[in-house]
Amino acid sequence: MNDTQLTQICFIITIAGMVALALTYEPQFENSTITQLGEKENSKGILFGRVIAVIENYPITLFTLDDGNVALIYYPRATTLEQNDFVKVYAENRSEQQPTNPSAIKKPKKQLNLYAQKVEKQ
Amino acid sequence: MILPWLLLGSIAGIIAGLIPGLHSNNVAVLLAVSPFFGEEITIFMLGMCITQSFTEFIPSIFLGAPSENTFESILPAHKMLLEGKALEAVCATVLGGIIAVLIGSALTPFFFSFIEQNSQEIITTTPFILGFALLVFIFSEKDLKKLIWAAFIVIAAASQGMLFSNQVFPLITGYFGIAGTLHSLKERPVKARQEENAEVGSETIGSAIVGLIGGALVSVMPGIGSNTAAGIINVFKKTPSAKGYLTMLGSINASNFFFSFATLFALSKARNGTMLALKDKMFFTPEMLLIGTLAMVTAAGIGGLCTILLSKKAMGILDEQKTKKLSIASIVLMIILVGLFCGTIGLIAMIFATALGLLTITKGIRRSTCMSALIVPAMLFYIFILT
Repeated sequence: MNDTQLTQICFIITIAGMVALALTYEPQFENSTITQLGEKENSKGILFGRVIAVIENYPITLFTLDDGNVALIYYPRATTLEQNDFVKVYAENRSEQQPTNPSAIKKPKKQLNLYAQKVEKQ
Repeated sequence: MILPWLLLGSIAGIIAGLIPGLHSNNVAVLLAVSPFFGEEITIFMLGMCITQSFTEFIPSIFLGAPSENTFESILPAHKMLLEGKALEAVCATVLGGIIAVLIGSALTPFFFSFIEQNSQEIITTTPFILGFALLVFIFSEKDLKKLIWAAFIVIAAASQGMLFSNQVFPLITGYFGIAGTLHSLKERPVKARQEENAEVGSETIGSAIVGLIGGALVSVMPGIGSNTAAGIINVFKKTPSAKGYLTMLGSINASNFFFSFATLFALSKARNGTMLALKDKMFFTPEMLLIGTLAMVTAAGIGGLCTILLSKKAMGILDEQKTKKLSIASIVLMIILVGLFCGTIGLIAMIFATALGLLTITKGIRRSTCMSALIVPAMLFYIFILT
């Protein structure tokens, strides 16, 4: 193989990769609500809301979020969240997600449990 | 749209690769403290790092070519430069990187499964592999005088590595950058007309596969970089030619980074500065793993393309006088960068490392012996975490 052929191979890989990316890429997280995430398993979205209560914040964070509806959010990192903080949450409705905190189990059965990829204080 | 972010990242990677001493890890540290988050910044950083793993061979191949008196102790890239085969050297590294990324992307699911089951065993055997490599550095010298010098250099480099434990960049710059470049200024370089065409044959594919495996293993081991891995692999498995060694090096460089992304997903452990920055910036979802892999493959294509094209440009403007001027400029730039990024301690470390690097060259000892500066601290680190 000579340098010209190698250049051509690199060019083909570049174009093929860009086409594959353009065809497969979809934004994973778009603005959503707790109600919308609750309607479909494995859905993802960005939630904006107020922290009603922080159950734990170290080494993981477990809190309830209110955006008009209430959900329990599990975030696998420590935070400094406090009650009444406004937050932006990149959340997923993982059907297998179960909270381990006993007090959370006492919550009403209809409350949604969500997994957070990222939580940002606003 | 993430394609503009990938292109921006690739441009950043090209610039980082062309400037000796500037690494994508430095840029990643800056991005880590930025407010950016999500797919766009992830793709930017992955594109930057993969592209840089290709273009960083350009300054190392084209600058600092020594003379025929030091031919036996120089790195294979400079050997090929003296033979007028600089473009072939570049193409060998590109071929290695491309093979690593293409095969690596197909092997990612198997790699996941392998490291989930065997990461602890790999970490347990690492100090023994490193220790054995050190012994081979010394005892592979056939002449008794050279053997004693090799032992001295291993001890001296190891001491420097432990004394200046946070100064990896100044040490590497001293051993492999400034020492070789300074020596080339002293010696009259062999004039070699650079060939405008290059051939990289199928005989180097085996070296690329070895590099891929080495880079994949190293991506799991903290404290072991691509250069260390290449030095150790070369001890255990001699590559048949300079071209084969360069292909292996290109493969290790690209696959180390490529698989460190998969390691981050599988073990939630970061193995380099960029992954550490990415850990807080990206989404850990299957979609992100797929998009990240596609982005890295695309960036490999961009990196390979730009590396070959830029090398052809570099060949066109380099002659003996310009090479000398560029070598001096390169030394000045390395000193400035060490001073900027590492301060006074870094400059002191660089001076000691340069002195040892020059001694290694003048005594005809393999320069990879200086890797003891990284190998011994890594060995002690592993012994510490295992006990």
